[in-house]
Amino acid sequence: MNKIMLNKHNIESSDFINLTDNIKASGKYLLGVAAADERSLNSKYAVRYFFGGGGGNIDEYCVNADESFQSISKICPAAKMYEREIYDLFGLLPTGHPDLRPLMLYPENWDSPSIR
Amino acid sequence: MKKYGEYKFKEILGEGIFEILVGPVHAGIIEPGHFRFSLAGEPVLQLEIRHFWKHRGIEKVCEGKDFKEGLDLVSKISGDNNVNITISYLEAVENLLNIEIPKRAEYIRVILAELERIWNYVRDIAWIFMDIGFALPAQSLFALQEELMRLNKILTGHRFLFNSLTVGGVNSDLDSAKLKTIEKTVKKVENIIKDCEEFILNSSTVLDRLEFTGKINHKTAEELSLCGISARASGLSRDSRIEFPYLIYDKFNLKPVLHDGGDVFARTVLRIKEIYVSKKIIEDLLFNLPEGDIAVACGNKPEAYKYAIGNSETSRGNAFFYIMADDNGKIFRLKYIDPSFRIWPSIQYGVLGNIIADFPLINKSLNLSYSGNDM
Repeated sequence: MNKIMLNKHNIESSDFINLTDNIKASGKYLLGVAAADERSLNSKYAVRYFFGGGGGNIDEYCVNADESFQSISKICPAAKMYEREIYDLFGLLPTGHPDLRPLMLYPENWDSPSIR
Repeated sequence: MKKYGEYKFKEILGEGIFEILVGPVHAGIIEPGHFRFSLAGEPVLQLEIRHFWKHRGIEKVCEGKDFKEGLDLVSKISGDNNVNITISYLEAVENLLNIEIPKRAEYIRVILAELERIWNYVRDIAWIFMDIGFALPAQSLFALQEELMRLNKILTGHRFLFNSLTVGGVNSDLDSAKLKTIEKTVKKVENIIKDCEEFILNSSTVLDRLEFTGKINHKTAEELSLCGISARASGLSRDSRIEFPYLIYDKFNLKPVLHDGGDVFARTVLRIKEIYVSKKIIEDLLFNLPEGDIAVACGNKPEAYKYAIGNSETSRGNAFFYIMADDNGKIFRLKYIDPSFRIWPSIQYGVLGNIIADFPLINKSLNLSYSGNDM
């Protein structure tokens, strides 16, 4: 039975944005981004980016955040929707994101940006 | 009520430019989505999609549930792909619980997954014919879809194969009578699809509608990180069964089925070719099923705050799970990424320059899920 192997990297938000070009150049592509409220564990939020493809394992880049983290959408447009979603549902600001209009919670119906 | 933020549609201004608004309520019983076109004459200058009209908060609901309760919720995310989505969920869960499922269960999971892929593709191709006004081939494919769904019911008791998988294995075994029925049905599928392929390739009126329509460029597909048929039809070699093999997919030595057209034609032809691949996989397994149990007991408790990912190839692309367990053996955080969430934005590029009348066809050639998107 095959199990997916994960290469885990904890990384500072500012370092991650510099690395994104290299990740793309290596032939890996964005499989998804998962944010989680882990304040009860280490008083931080975690934003995990998963890259895979081009042979080899899946790479996970975990960025910890309090209120904001750096958006990689300008370098990796595939991250655009995920980061918008995280802003909408967790209220974490992806700084430098090109389009932060509400995505999932309709401003017509909701009075708060987050359902943390 | 205080409102947060504001939603402004992107506007195109200029002489003679007008907008057409479609949805969120559509004709028929399809799901809600809003499409806003800006046009000058018939060609589309811009399309903006606004979705998520029925965000259900599934991820939040899953928190604090055990893995079996989670399974029930997860299998209803996007019904027509529930087997393949559930396989991805169970990859993550069984990793967390550190259980190995019996070989026989792995084989049955793959057979059901490929049957699901086939019935999805048959339906998708039928709708392509429907949208270009070729009712006869469409109806014959709808009849075939019905036959496949009845087969599903014979095999698992449900037309959509619901509840066929469980944590630790599968719920229903396949006896020799069922295996023979599968063999007979997939042979029939192959014959009908061969006729259909010949018809498409030899009919100039069909080709006229499909070729160069809804082209998604290789570069666009790459930048948007597309997956599934949408990626392979734009020349990207992406298939989870090959890239990140799970269950027993590494046995088959699969080669990605690719096309570089990026248009509706490419996506239709790929579906046809992949039906042949799925048929071959099923036939390889049917009469080589290992003997033994179809499920193992799973009393294990996951390590506290450990997490795992699951990934599988549905008929639309990757189903991706991230699951973290809490200190009680329940779900602490579950994130699901549906292929449709990744692919929807690409339609905004695919329609550019096409006439508005081709939008339904372009949309059908991707056939994305609203419910998978509206988590």
